[in-house]
Amino acid sequence: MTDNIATLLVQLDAAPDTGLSQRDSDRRDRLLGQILASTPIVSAPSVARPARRQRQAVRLGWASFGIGTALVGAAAFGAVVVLPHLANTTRGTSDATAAGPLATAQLASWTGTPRTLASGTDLATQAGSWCTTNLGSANGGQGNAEVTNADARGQVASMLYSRAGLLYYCVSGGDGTGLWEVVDQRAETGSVAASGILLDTAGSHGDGAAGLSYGVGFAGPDVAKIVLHEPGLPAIVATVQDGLWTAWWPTPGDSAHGGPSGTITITTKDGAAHTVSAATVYPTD
Amino acid sequence: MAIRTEHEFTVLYLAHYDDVLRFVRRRAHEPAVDDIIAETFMTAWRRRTDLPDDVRPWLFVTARQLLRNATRGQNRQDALSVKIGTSEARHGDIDADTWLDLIAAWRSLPADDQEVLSLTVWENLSQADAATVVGCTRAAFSMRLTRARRRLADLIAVADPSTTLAFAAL
Repeated sequence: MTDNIATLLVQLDAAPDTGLSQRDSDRRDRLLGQILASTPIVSAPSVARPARRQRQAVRLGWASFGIGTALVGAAAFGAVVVLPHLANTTRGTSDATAAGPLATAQLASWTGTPRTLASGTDLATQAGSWCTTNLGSANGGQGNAEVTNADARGQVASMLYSRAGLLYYCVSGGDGTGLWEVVDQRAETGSVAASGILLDTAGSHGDGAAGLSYGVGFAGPDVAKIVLHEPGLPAIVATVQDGLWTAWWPTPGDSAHGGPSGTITITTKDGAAHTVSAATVYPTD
Repeated sequence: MAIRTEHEFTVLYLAHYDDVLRFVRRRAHEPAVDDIIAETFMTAWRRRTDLPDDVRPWLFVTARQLLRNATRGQNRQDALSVKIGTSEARHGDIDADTWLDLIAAWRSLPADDQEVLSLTVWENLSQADAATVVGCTRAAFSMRLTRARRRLADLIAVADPSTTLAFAAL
């Protein structure tokens, strides 16, 4: 997770991923020898040396995991635009400030129905670049990225960004603003019904007019469309792809609940629709 | 995940040693780091036949429990305070005052808030895995995370009311 503050926190890391020093590597290898010598497995094959090559092989294995690159188009332009109160920038009045990962003008452009984040557009390029840069500073990981669930709501893009074995939900206005959070890549077997959904990750960022909330989760194979209904907002059409759904929405003032709080309408591929309370899609484990 | 050979354990160990080392270094006094690391992986070795498939959160849970045991005499709180780096290296567009405000705010933050933020920002854990590490439900973790973000933002705003606006404009 991050908002702008958390992006700064990345740089406060007391133990950033800079690789092991020679001293750390020596300790690592010495400890491994001690552990294996403590109670050896008698019938085991010969022990491989803890060479760097093995570590790289493991990492390559992680990096090779992919989730596909096809983008799903969402609905068209022209959805209702919500206009949160503009931030009062008066200094020193805590209830009059608005701070968050996106600018209030970007939140004001939000649409309940997302549009396709067209490749090559300024927003797609700049938001993708923001995600690449900030996720890079977060985990030190490099390598090829794969993007799914890409959409645009007004001036803001969101996407699921996969790289180096981790999957992130990344939201960016493309101008140096944004947030990200690590999400799970797949649901536990049997945890999502064919026509049901499950919330994996949710949260709220910012306050005042800059507040926003989001949800990311899993969808059963029969699910065609997911619409969230939050108080005071138009219907929020989630972006669904490859069994994963994403949505975010503005939550100005005190309306944030750390995730979906209203109802959710799920439409299956046969056209049937049913509505559930958002509380029922939260995991209980 | 059942570890059946020394080679399989070696692969697991090499894949996660760096992550566990950094997890412990963020939370332990330096002289205690080696012991915590050693005991964490020794525990994994002893329990190699019944490790979970996703072993990373399990390793953090184990290390966290050892850290809590080690610090219980000094500090009775359940959550672990998380250290921050204060080195000179910092992002070019952050001014020194903002940097100091952020450091001060972090140090004023309750330990359980530090913990949920660090697990998601520095350990790069999903909410589900982070909830496993601190032993709560995902829904509860989500709420704790939201509150922690808000408290940190509030602390920064108290330190310097103009800073909040600066963050918003970044």
